[in-house]
Amino acid sequence: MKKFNLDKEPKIATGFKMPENYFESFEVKMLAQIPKHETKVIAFSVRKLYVVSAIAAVLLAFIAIPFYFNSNVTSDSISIESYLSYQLTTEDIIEKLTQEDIDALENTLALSDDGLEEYLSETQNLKFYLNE
Amino acid sequence: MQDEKVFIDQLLHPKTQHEAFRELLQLYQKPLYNHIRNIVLNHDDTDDVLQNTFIKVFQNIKNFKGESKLFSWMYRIATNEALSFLQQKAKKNGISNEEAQQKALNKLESDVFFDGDEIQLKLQKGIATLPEKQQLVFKMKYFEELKYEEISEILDTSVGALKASYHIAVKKIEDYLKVN
Repeated sequence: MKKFNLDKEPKIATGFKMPENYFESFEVKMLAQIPKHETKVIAFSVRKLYVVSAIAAVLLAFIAIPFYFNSNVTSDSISIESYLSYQLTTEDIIEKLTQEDIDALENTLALSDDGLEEYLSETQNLKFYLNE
Repeated sequence: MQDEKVFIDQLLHPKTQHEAFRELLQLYQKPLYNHIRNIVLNHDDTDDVLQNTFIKVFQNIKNFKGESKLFSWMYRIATNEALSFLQQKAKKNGISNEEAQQKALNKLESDVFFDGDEIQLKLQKGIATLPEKQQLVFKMKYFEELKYEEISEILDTSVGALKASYHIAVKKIEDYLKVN
């Protein structure tokens, strides 16, 4: 019987095969199973929260700014009125009124005759008004 | 390959591990496939075991202490995974490991991923007659052409013992091929 010498005979291969492109697809399959490091990204919900907060802040500013300036205006109006009351006498104001202003005031105030007489009797400058 | 410690650091660092793992796959998927296939014989089983091997490598690389080469460590994992797979498969079917191997050999003839001729099939049958450790040594030396020093590190066996084991294995196979 023929002696078989493994180390002297031509090498016997395993005869095993694998599907075409097996290793390429194996590599892809394995890489998909391990976590991939990415630059830290803020989660969408958190980012959305920041955006919404920023928009809310801007809107709040838009709403608040006019109030802020209006309150200054009011403050300024009070200051002006206060200033005028201290700096101008009744006579000064009367001098500035036109006939039209007086008519308009009369219509608005609608003073009764009794009321008018009572006011005039209590006023020290009655003579002045009567002459006018 | 670049310095192994640097490569292992890359495998551990979250920023570099993906690319390093790709490199690891490109380097070792073919030799590890062949190693596993020589043990389990069937392509689909090899595919499963190879996946498990790389997953274990990835999960346990942090525990790799560098006491052996990365290459040897990976081969050890692949060997353990393949042998465990065969044991579980035999247990599942309620048969011994030897019976399971015989069954796998019988299926080899009709396997679409085996194109071996008569002598190749005979060689596989001859190998199957050997004890498990001798089979491993023979396959790693004859088919995979690993050096005794490499096999020694993988199987944690002295080079002398491996040489003796291979010599005995060759003789048994030659005798098998002579008779059959």
